[in-house]
Amino acid sequence: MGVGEEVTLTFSGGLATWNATAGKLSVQAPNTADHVIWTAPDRAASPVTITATGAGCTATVSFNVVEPSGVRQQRNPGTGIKHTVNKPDSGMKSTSYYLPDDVCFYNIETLEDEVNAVDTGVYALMTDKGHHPSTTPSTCSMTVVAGLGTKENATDTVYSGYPAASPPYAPGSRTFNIPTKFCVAGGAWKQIELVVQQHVLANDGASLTSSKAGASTPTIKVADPTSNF
Amino acid sequence: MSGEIDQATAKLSEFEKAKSIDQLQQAVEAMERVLHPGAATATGVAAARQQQARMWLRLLAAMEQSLDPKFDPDDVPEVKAIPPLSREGEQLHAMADARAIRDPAARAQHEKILKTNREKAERYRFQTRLRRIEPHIWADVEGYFGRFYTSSRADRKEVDGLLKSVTLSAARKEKLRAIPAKKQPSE
Repeated sequence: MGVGEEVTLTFSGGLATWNATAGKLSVQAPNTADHVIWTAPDRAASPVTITATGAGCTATVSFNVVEPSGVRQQRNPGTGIKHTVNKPDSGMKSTSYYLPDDVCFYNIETLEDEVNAVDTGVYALMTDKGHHPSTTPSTCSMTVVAGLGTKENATDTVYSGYPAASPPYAPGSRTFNIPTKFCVAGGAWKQIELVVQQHVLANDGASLTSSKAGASTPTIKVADPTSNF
Repeated sequence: MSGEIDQATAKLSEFEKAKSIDQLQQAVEAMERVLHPGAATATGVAAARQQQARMWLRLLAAMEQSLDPKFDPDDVPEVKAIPPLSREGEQLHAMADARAIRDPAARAQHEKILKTNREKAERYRFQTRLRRIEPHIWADVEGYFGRFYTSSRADRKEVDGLLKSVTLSAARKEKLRAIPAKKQPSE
């Protein structure tokens, strides 16, 4: 189970008294019902045991609860690459996913934290280095994709920008190591990992790429015509 | 009135003012801590049942009235925006600091886009979280009516009276009326 994931549990013997070693049981005091919704805790726990006692017997079930372990991105299908002719910029529209892919994190929310870019070459001329992300947490969907994980309900814009300069441009890169964190809605935040967003002008001074968490643009050239997402 | 029902009432009131799902969640959790009507002493079993049922219905109604029927989960928010090109010829990156935009008109235009995005993200988050909490509230309410009301004439009359006192969809009222009807008074 993912943190915050829910499961409906039913006691076949009728009314039972329920207890869980972690997480929340949706049941009215004193925890007696024939079925309950159990919500996994907001941190990893192994195992969590739920017991139902009634009709002269006790039934137990156990779950291992896991936290998001990594972030992956995928370019949004049907979107283009942003670029301006004769400028060292590139970018894409993408969506984040949260690993592992064998649970669903639909009850988590995520945020990126602020971080400054590490700029080299032409990008060292950029006047604003900051990454000033949204302060509204993003929610997650109930869609889980193999190899990617739980899909986030948000569209990301991964775009380098370009300085007030003219060609030829010095090869270089701009790299944001973005702290990305999660919480189970309403709970405490915890960092998942540093997500690397990188924009590169290759050593040939002409080839451009943007990438983030496994998603990337195809290589384009500085001289390519202007294009949008 | 029990302390838990007082807490639930206060949290519900905060939810209705601030539209914070956390407050609605806390109201539900307070109600889940209320001991069942049979444990009531001060107010009597019948009064406790009616009071608890009314509060559960108020929570359900508050949730239902906050659901936006036009909400489209596929219309996801944009979390970043690209500032306009500066007069000097610099194109800032997505999520550059709006204060880095020197031209006041361009800065205002960008801040307007950020505000629109933020408001959409907040609406999206609210509606998503509301839909996550909906099955919990419904399971609690359904469980309560199934457990503490029977098909007796007196119980059906009480349920009808309770349902008249809240604004709920006809479909949901119908479902709630049907729950006690399944249970015979002797059960």
